[in-house]
Amino acid sequence: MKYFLIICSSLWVSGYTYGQIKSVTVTGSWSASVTTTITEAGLNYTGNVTSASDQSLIDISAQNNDPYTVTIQKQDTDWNSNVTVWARRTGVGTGGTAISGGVDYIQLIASAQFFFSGAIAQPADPRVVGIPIQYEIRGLSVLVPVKSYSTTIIYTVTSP
Amino acid sequence: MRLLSILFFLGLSNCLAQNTGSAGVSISPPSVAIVNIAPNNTGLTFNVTAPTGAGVEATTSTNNTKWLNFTSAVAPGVTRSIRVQIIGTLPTGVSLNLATSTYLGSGAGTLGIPVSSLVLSTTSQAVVNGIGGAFTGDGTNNGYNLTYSLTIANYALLRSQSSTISIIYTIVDN
Repeated sequence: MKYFLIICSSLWVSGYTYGQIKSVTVTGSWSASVTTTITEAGLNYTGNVTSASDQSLIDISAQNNDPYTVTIQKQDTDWNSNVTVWARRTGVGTGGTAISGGVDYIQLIASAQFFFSGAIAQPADPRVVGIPIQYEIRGLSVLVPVKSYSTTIIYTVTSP
Repeated sequence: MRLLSILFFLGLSNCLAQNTGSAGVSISPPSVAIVNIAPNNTGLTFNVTAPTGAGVEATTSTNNTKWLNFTSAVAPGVTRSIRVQIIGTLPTGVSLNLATSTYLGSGAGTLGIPVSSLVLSTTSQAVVNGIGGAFTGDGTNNGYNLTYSLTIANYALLRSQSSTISIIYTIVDN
Protein backbone atom coordinates (compact mmCIF):
# COMPACT_ATOMS: atom_id res chain seq x y z
CA MET A 1 0.00 0.00 0.00
CA LYS A 2 2.84 2.35 0.84
CA TYR A 3 4.42 1.77 -2.58
CA PHE A 4 1.09 2.33 -4.27
CA LEU A 5 0.76 5.69 -2.60
CA ILE A 6 4.29 6.65 -3.59
CA ILE A 7 3.59 5.78 -7.21
CA CYS A 8 0.36 7.77 -7.14
CA SER A 9 2.12 10.78 -5.74
CA SER A 10 4.89 10.54 -8.32
CA LEU A 11 2.44 10.48 -11.17
CA TRP A 12 0.65 13.49 -9.83
CA VAL A 13 3.86 15.43 -9.25
CA SER A 14 5.11 14.66 -12.75
CA GLY A 15 1.83 15.89 -14.16
CA TYR A 16 1.72 19.23 -12.43
CA THR A 17 5.12 20.30 -11.24
CA TYR A 18 6.62 20.65 -14.69
CA GLY A 19 3.47 21.84 -16.46
CA GLN A 20 4.35 19.55 -19.35
CA ILE A 21 0.89 18.53 -20.40
CA LYS A 22 0.24 19.70 -23.94
CA SER A 23 -2.45 18.81 -26.36
CA VAL A 24 -2.42 18.88 -30.14
CA THR A 25 -5.30 18.99 -32.55
CA VAL A 26 -4.81 18.30 -36.25
CA THR A 27 -7.43 19.14 -38.85
CA GLY A 28 -7.29 18.47 -42.57
CA SER A 29 -6.58 15.13 -44.16
CA TRP A 30 -5.42 14.85 -47.75
CA SER A 31 -6.86 12.72 -50.50
CA ALA A 32 -4.20 13.27 -53.13
CA SER A 33 -5.10 13.45 -56.80
CA VAL A 34 -2.68 12.40 -59.50
CA THR A 35 -2.98 15.51 -61.63
CA THR A 36 -0.06 14.82 -63.92
CA THR A 37 -1.21 12.82 -66.91
CA ILE A 38 1.00 10.77 -69.15
CA THR A 39 0.38 12.01 -72.65
CA GLU A 40 3.08 10.11 -74.51
CA ALA A 41 3.44 6.35 -74.64
CA GLY A 42 6.70 5.16 -73.17
CA LEU A 43 6.89 7.78 -70.45
CA ASN A 44 6.52 7.49 -66.71
CA TYR A 45 5.11 10.02 -64.30
CA THR A 46 7.28 13.02 -63.71
CA GLY A 47 7.21 15.31 -60.73
CA ASN A 48 5.57 14.95 -57.36
CA VAL A 49 2.06 15.28 -56.03
CA THR A 50 1.82 18.24 -53.69
CA SER A 51 -0.96 19.25 -51.35
CA ALA A 52 -2.21 22.72 -50.54
CA SER A 53 0.24 24.69 -48.43
CA ASP A 54 -2.19 24.55 -45.50
CA GLN A 55 -3.48 21.03 -46.04
CA SER A 56 -3.35 20.31 -42.32
CA LEU A 57 -3.56 22.81 -39.50
CA ILE A 58 -2.09 22.10 -36.11
CA ASP A 59 -3.31 23.62 -32.86
CA ILE A 60 -1.22 23.20 -29.72
CA SER A 61 -2.31 24.13 -26.23
CA ALA A 62 -0.66 23.95 -22.86
CA GLN A 63 -1.34 24.75 -19.29
CA ASN A 64 1.32 27.41 -19.25
CA ASN A 65 3.86 28.89 -21.63
CA ASP A 66 6.34 26.10 -21.68
CA PRO A 67 8.16 25.37 -24.88
CA TYR A 68 7.04 22.39 -26.91
CA THR A 69 8.42 20.02 -29.49
CA VAL A 70 6.42 18.34 -32.22
CA THR A 71 7.47 15.04 -33.71
CA ILE A 72 6.02 13.48 -36.82
CA GLN A 73 5.74 9.94 -38.11
CA LYS A 74 3.50 7.91 -40.35
CA GLN A 75 1.59 4.75 -39.70
CA ASP A 76 0.69 2.92 -42.88
CA THR A 77 -2.67 1.34 -43.40
CA ASP A 78 -1.80 0.22 -46.91
CA TRP A 79 1.10 1.94 -48.60
CA ASN A 80 3.68 1.17 -51.26
CA SER A 81 7.27 1.28 -50.10
CA ASN A 82 8.42 2.95 -53.33
CA VAL A 83 6.16 5.90 -52.69
CA THR A 84 7.29 8.36 -50.03
CA VAL A 85 5.42 10.99 -48.07
CA TRP A 86 7.05 14.26 -47.12
CA ALA A 87 5.86 17.10 -44.91
CA ARG A 88 6.89 20.63 -44.12
CA ARG A 89 5.66 23.54 -42.05
CA THR A 90 4.66 26.49 -44.22
CA GLY A 91 3.79 29.01 -41.53
CA VAL A 92 3.77 29.77 -37.82
CA GLY A 93 0.09 29.98 -37.02
CA THR A 94 -0.99 32.47 -34.37
CA GLY A 95 -0.27 32.67 -30.68
CA GLY A 96 3.15 31.09 -30.80
CA THR A 97 6.68 32.30 -30.58
CA ALA A 98 10.19 31.04 -31.26
CA ILE A 99 8.90 28.42 -33.67
CA SER A 100 11.71 26.77 -35.57
CA GLY A 101 12.33 23.74 -37.74
CA GLY A 102 10.19 21.94 -40.24
CA VAL A 103 10.38 24.46 -43.05
CA ASP A 104 12.14 22.01 -45.35
CA TYR A 105 10.43 18.82 -46.43
CA ILE A 106 11.29 15.77 -44.37
CA GLN A 107 10.52 12.24 -45.44
CA LEU A 108 8.10 10.60 -43.06
CA ILE A 109 8.93 7.20 -41.68
CA ALA A 110 7.37 4.84 -39.17
CA SER A 111 9.37 6.18 -36.25
CA ALA A 112 8.94 9.64 -34.78
CA GLN A 113 11.26 12.37 -35.98
CA PHE A 114 11.68 15.92 -34.75
CA PHE A 115 9.52 18.22 -36.84
CA PHE A 116 9.51 21.63 -35.19
CA SER A 117 9.55 23.33 -31.82
CA GLY A 118 8.32 26.56 -30.32
CA ALA A 119 6.66 28.15 -27.36
CA ILE A 120 3.29 29.57 -26.49
CA ALA A 121 3.25 33.37 -26.56
CA GLN A 122 0.05 34.23 -24.79
CA PRO A 123 -0.11 33.59 -21.04
CA ALA A 124 -3.82 34.39 -20.98
CA ASP A 125 -4.59 31.99 -23.78
CA PRO A 126 -1.76 29.48 -23.82
CA ARG A 127 -2.13 27.98 -27.26
CA VAL A 128 -0.90 28.36 -30.79
CA VAL A 129 -3.37 27.70 -33.54
CA GLY A 130 -3.33 27.06 -37.26
CA ILE A 131 0.24 25.99 -37.90
CA PRO A 132 -0.03 25.09 -41.59
CA ILE A 133 1.43 21.85 -42.94
CA GLN A 134 2.02 20.89 -46.56
CA TYR A 135 2.51 17.34 -47.82
CA GLU A 136 4.18 15.92 -50.87
CA ILE A 137 4.07 12.43 -52.35
CA ARG A 138 7.17 11.38 -54.26
CA GLY A 139 8.14 8.31 -56.19
CA LEU A 140 4.82 7.75 -57.91
CA SER A 141 5.35 5.53 -60.93
CA VAL A 142 3.35 3.41 -63.32
CA LEU A 143 5.20 0.51 -61.74
CA VAL A 144 3.20 1.08 -58.57
CA PRO A 145 0.14 -1.18 -58.65
CA VAL A 146 -3.12 0.62 -59.27
CA LYS A 147 -5.07 0.61 -56.01
CA SER A 148 -5.86 2.88 -53.09
CA TYR A 149 -3.10 3.62 -50.63
CA SER A 150 -3.54 5.26 -47.26
CA THR A 151 -1.40 6.23 -44.33
CA THR A 152 -1.86 8.24 -41.16
CA ILE A 153 0.41 11.11 -40.23
CA ILE A 154 0.85 11.27 -36.46
CA TYR A 155 1.93 14.42 -34.67
CA THR A 156 3.07 14.19 -31.08
CA VAL A 157 3.67 17.25 -28.90
CA THR A 158 5.94 17.05 -25.89
CA SER A 159 7.92 19.34 -23.68
CA PRO A 160 11.57 19.32 -24.64
CA MET B 1 -6.61 7.67 1.61
CA ARG B 2 -9.55 9.07 -0.38
CA LEU B 3 -7.60 12.28 -0.94
CA LEU B 4 -4.64 10.33 -2.29
CA SER B 5 -6.89 8.47 -4.70
CA ILE B 6 -8.25 11.73 -6.05
CA LEU B 7 -4.77 13.08 -6.46
CA PHE B 8 -3.78 9.91 -8.26
CA PHE B 9 -6.57 10.25 -10.80
CA LEU B 10 -5.77 13.90 -11.33
CA GLY B 11 -2.21 13.01 -12.10
CA LEU B 12 -3.18 10.11 -14.31
CA SER B 13 -5.66 12.19 -16.29
CA ASN B 14 -2.98 14.73 -17.00
CA CYS B 15 -0.52 12.07 -18.06
CA LEU B 16 -3.16 10.75 -20.46
CA ALA B 17 -3.94 14.16 -22.00
CA GLN B 18 -4.23 14.09 -25.79
CA ASN B 19 -0.72 14.91 -26.95
CA THR B 20 -1.02 13.27 -30.36
CA GLY B 21 -3.06 14.26 -33.37
CA SER B 22 -3.29 12.74 -36.79
CA ALA B 23 -4.22 13.38 -40.39
CA GLY B 24 -4.87 10.86 -43.11
CA VAL B 25 -3.12 10.86 -46.47
CA SER B 26 -4.37 8.74 -49.32
CA ILE B 27 -3.76 8.38 -53.01
CA SER B 28 -5.20 6.21 -55.78
CA PRO B 29 -2.98 6.14 -58.86
CA PRO B 30 -5.06 5.67 -62.01
CA SER B 31 -4.90 2.91 -64.55
CA VAL B 32 -2.82 3.89 -67.58
CA ALA B 33 -2.70 2.20 -70.98
CA ILE B 34 -1.07 4.05 -73.86
CA VAL B 35 0.63 2.68 -76.94
CA ASN B 36 2.07 4.35 -79.99
CA ILE B 37 4.58 3.92 -82.78
CA ALA B 38 7.87 5.79 -82.74
CA PRO B 39 9.22 7.87 -84.25
CA ASN B 40 5.90 8.63 -85.95
CA ASN B 41 2.93 7.19 -87.73
CA THR B 42 4.22 8.06 -91.17
CA GLY B 43 3.35 5.38 -93.65
CA LEU B 44 5.78 2.85 -95.03
CA THR B 45 6.01 1.73 -98.63
CA PHE B 46 6.75 -1.84 -99.61
CA ASN B 47 7.43 -2.96 -103.14
CA VAL B 48 7.78 -6.13 -105.04
CA THR B 49 10.53 -5.41 -107.52
CA ALA B 50 10.50 -7.20 -110.79
CA PRO B 51 13.55 -9.37 -111.43
CA THR B 52 16.03 -8.27 -114.07
CA GLY B 53 16.41 -11.67 -115.55
CA ALA B 54 14.01 -14.33 -116.63
CA GLY B 55 13.53 -17.07 -114.09
CA VAL B 56 14.86 -15.01 -111.19
CA GLU B 57 12.85 -14.50 -108.05
CA ALA B 58 11.26 -11.11 -107.49
CA THR B 59 12.63 -9.11 -104.60
CA THR B 60 10.62 -7.68 -101.75
CA SER B 61 11.31 -4.98 -99.19
CA THR B 62 11.77 -4.80 -95.44
CA ASN B 63 11.52 -1.95 -92.97
CA ASN B 64 12.70 -1.83 -89.36
CA THR B 65 12.45 1.88 -88.59
CA LYS B 66 9.45 1.66 -86.29
CA TRP B 67 9.40 1.07 -82.55
CA LEU B 68 6.57 0.07 -80.29
CA ASN B 69 6.35 2.34 -77.22
CA PHE B 70 3.88 1.91 -74.40
CA THR B 71 3.07 2.90 -70.84
CA SER B 72 0.99 0.67 -68.62
CA ALA B 73 -0.17 0.94 -65.01
CA VAL B 74 -2.29 -1.95 -63.82
CA ALA B 75 -4.13 -3.16 -60.77
CA PRO B 76 -2.55 -6.03 -58.83
CA GLY B 77 -2.84 -9.28 -60.73
CA VAL B 78 -3.76 -7.65 -64.03
CA THR B 79 -1.68 -8.14 -67.17
CA ARG B 80 -2.07 -6.67 -70.60
CA SER B 81 -1.25 -7.50 -74.17
CA ILE B 82 -0.61 -5.41 -77.23
CA ARG B 83 -2.45 -6.75 -80.22
CA VAL B 84 -1.98 -5.97 -83.88
CA GLN B 85 -4.20 -6.25 -86.91
CA ILE B 86 -4.45 -4.73 -90.35
CA ILE B 87 -7.35 -2.79 -91.73
CA GLY B 88 -7.64 -3.11 -95.46
CA THR B 89 -6.71 -5.66 -98.08
CA LEU B 90 -3.22 -6.52 -99.19
CA PRO B 91 -2.51 -7.08 -102.87
CA THR B 92 -3.13 -10.64 -103.84
CA GLY B 93 -0.24 -13.05 -103.59
CA VAL B 94 1.69 -11.17 -100.89
CA SER B 95 1.73 -11.18 -97.13
CA LEU B 96 3.08 -8.75 -94.61
CA ASN B 97 5.13 -10.30 -91.84
CA LEU B 98 6.06 -8.71 -88.52
CA ALA B 99 9.12 -9.63 -86.50
CA THR B 100 9.36 -8.12 -83.00
CA SER B 101 12.67 -7.69 -81.25
CA THR B 102 13.43 -8.23 -77.61
CA TYR B 103 12.99 -5.16 -75.45
CA LEU B 104 15.54 -2.38 -75.70
CA GLY B 105 15.58 1.01 -74.07
CA SER B 106 15.47 3.17 -70.98
CA GLY B 107 12.18 1.95 -69.53
CA ALA B 108 11.42 -0.28 -66.59
CA GLY B 109 8.82 -2.58 -65.16
CA THR B 110 7.09 -5.69 -66.40
CA LEU B 111 7.64 -5.10 -70.08
CA GLY B 112 6.12 -8.31 -71.37
CA ILE B 113 7.24 -10.98 -73.78
CA PRO B 114 7.20 -10.33 -77.52
CA VAL B 115 5.83 -12.73 -80.10
CA SER B 116 8.80 -13.01 -82.36
CA SER B 117 7.08 -13.49 -85.70
CA LEU B 118 3.59 -12.95 -87.07
CA VAL B 119 1.84 -12.89 -90.40
CA LEU B 120 -0.39 -9.86 -90.15
CA SER B 121 -4.06 -10.24 -90.90
CA THR B 122 -7.36 -8.58 -90.25
CA THR B 123 -7.67 -10.75 -87.17
CA SER B 124 -6.18 -9.27 -84.03
CA GLN B 125 -3.08 -11.10 -82.78
CA ALA B 126 -0.93 -10.60 -79.71
CA VAL B 127 2.44 -9.02 -80.43
CA VAL B 128 3.50 -8.55 -76.79
CA ASN B 129 2.05 -10.54 -73.88
CA GLY B 130 2.36 -10.30 -70.12
CA ILE B 131 2.66 -6.56 -69.75
CA GLY B 132 2.29 -5.26 -66.21
CA GLY B 133 3.19 -1.91 -64.76
CA ALA B 134 5.83 -0.65 -67.16
CA PHE B 135 7.06 2.09 -69.46
CA THR B 136 9.30 1.47 -72.44
CA GLY B 137 10.95 4.82 -72.80
CA ASP B 138 9.90 7.21 -75.52
CA GLY B 139 11.01 7.30 -79.14
CA THR B 140 13.25 5.19 -81.28
CA ASN B 141 15.55 2.71 -79.62
CA ASN B 142 13.00 2.33 -76.84
CA GLY B 143 10.55 -0.52 -76.64
CA TYR B 144 10.23 -3.21 -79.24
CA ASN B 145 11.71 -2.78 -82.68
CA LEU B 146 9.24 -3.75 -85.41
CA THR B 147 10.50 -5.28 -88.61
CA TYR B 148 7.96 -5.49 -91.43
CA SER B 149 8.68 -7.72 -94.38
CA LEU B 150 6.59 -7.99 -97.48
CA THR B 151 6.84 -11.53 -98.78
CA ILE B 152 5.45 -13.29 -101.79
CA ALA B 153 3.03 -15.86 -100.52
CA ASN B 154 1.77 -17.12 -103.85
CA TYR B 155 3.37 -16.24 -107.19
CA ALA B 156 0.31 -17.49 -109.00
CA LEU B 157 -1.78 -14.75 -107.46
CA LEU B 158 0.64 -11.87 -108.02
CA ARG B 159 -0.81 -8.98 -109.96
CA SER B 160 0.46 -5.53 -110.74
CA GLN B 161 -1.51 -3.57 -108.22
CA SER B 162 -1.19 -1.50 -105.08
CA SER B 163 -3.17 -1.03 -101.95
CA THR B 164 -3.04 0.94 -98.73
CA ILE B 165 -3.63 -0.70 -95.41
CA SER B 166 -3.50 0.47 -91.81
CA ILE B 167 -1.70 -1.44 -89.09
CA ILE B 168 -3.46 -1.01 -85.77
CA TYR B 169 -1.89 -1.66 -82.36
CA THR B 170 -4.14 -1.89 -79.32
CA ILE B 171 -3.21 -2.41 -75.68
CA VAL B 172 -5.80 -4.50 -73.87
CA ASP B 173 -6.38 -6.10 -70.49
CA ASN B 174 -6.09 -9.87 -70.46
